[in-house]
Amino acid sequence: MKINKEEILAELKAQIDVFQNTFKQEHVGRVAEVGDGIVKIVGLDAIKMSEMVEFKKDEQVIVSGVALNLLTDGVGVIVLGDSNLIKEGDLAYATGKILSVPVGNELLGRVVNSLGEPLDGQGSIKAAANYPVEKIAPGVITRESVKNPLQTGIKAIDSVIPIGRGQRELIIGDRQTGKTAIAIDTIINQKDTDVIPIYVAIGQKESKVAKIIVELKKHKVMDKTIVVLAGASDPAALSYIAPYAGCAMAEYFMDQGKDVLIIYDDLSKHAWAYREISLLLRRPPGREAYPGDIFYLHSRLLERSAKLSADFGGGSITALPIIETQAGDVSAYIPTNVISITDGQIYLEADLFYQGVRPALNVGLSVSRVGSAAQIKAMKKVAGKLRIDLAQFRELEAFAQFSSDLDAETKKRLELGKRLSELLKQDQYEPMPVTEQVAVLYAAVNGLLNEVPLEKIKLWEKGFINYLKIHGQQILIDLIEPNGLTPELEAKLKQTVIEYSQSFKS
Amino acid sequence: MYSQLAYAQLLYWLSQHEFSAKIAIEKFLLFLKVNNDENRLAGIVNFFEHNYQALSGVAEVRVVSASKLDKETMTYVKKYLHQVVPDAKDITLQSEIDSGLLGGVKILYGDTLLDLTVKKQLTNLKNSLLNI
Repeated sequence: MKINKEEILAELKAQIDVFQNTFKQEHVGRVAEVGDGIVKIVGLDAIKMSEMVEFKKDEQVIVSGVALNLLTDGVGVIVLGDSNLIKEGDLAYATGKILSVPVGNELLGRVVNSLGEPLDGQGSIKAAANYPVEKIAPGVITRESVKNPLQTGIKAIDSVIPIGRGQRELIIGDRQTGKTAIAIDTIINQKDTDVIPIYVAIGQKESKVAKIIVELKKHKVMDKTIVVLAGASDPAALSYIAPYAGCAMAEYFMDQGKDVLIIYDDLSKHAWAYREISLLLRRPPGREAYPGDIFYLHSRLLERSAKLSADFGGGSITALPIIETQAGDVSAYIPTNVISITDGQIYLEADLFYQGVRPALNVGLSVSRVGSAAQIKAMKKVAGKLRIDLAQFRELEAFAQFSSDLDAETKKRLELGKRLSELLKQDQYEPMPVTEQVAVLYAAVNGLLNEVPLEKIKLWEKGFINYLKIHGQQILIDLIEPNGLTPELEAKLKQTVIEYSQSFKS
Repeated sequence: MYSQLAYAQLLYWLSQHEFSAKIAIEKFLLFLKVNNDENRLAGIVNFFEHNYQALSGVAEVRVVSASKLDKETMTYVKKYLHQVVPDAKDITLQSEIDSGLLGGVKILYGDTLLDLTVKKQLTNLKNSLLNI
């Protein structure tokens, strides 16, 4: 189709004819001071907390900010962009709008910054709605207890530290212990579920985030995921806003009655960003130079994760915040804060990681306070025994290091513990369906693998799952049923394990 | 904690209601001392100096236009501003010229900006066309 000049001009004239110009009073202040990422404004007496402020050049907004400090003599604003573009004496325009981000299905499959602006070069996002970045968490009346499982696909977590939809489970550990790997595996495991994953990268290296996006695309889960990115080179203000923006996007889906999984990677860097902003705004520093409201910073964010009752749509937000510890120190300020806010923690240890235990999960120190209520019945039955066996193994293992002469019963328990530990190892990007997890763990906790050599456990597991998929498909289907592991089903499963394990006997 | 504006308003009130400037200053300093704000004196005095007209009820209004405004237009603007700022005892106009505005005027008083320029209208038109 060819459009000629006259048509374009006619259309433009028509648009200009219907254009109605309106004049409105604008509230402005003047920039008195520009700091690194912050601006002090004189005037704007009627501005509200968290209200957006715009800085313009030639009538075009060059950068925006958020009012964070309402002082007697001015307003402290954090700049959501390059503060070098602002000069002393510039006008700051109050918008009357509380900081909000676009939300909706249009964001699925996209990589956006803390303001919901696209970073993936796939065009602008025309979202139907905007949600405020800061919002009061759902009240007690609107909530109900966690009851539906959120499967991570990781055997060690789904069995011993189960996570329910609406839970806040902290992933804590030193650098390079596989914290992000757990989060990404959990996202990958949502490929065929109704859960919408949101990954919020706070102060992360962009190369790392690019790698994650590639993996998500490779596993075909990126289409239903939102990535909110505040990179390491972005201003602290964007890192500070990022988790709240991600949470606002999640709240939209929760309000639609959907289940959302949100990962905050990581809240240590979020606390650093807030500390930087607070010190620049000259708020009084407290312990480790963090401001006094550092606890509220994370508690108000994580409280927004909830399981709503059916009367309020039944949606949920499950949060997996990540905290990076220094030299395994979980008693530092920020880790203790976040541990006390969350409903449990997955504790990763560098020592275990280097021993080859991956995920490097310390089953003894990791807990899930509410998740067991959400486990499927079959897993609950298997996991109860698994937890006791692992606890006994840990005690005996320490004891066995000093004694060479062990009785038969102790040796048996140690062997079982070793097999269980071996079975809980899992490669990255290979989440396992919960029914398959139940089947392999059932075999181990019931001593059916005692004859299988330790070094062949991995091989057995792989082969057994394939065998089960062919010869025991009905078992896998029945395991998810509400009745759980009935005696008949247990007998069938046992028989299948014995049949398959024959070839592995040493 | 009182704002600079509140202190400046107090100083102005004292200067209008006391017998002598000396008494007014003494009372003001005493009030500062009671509130432990003596170290803010320099800032308050600076603020008082810069905002004296506003404190005395004279609204200072900046009128920016593309070309020099004639007397008739200025009188019209002043008349209009008396309706917008009814509390002002008097209004002083500071006119500025910015040819980039193309036409019309931009009025700035206190925290309020009223942009009635051609440039603003064209920007609004551009934005409305872009949002179709």
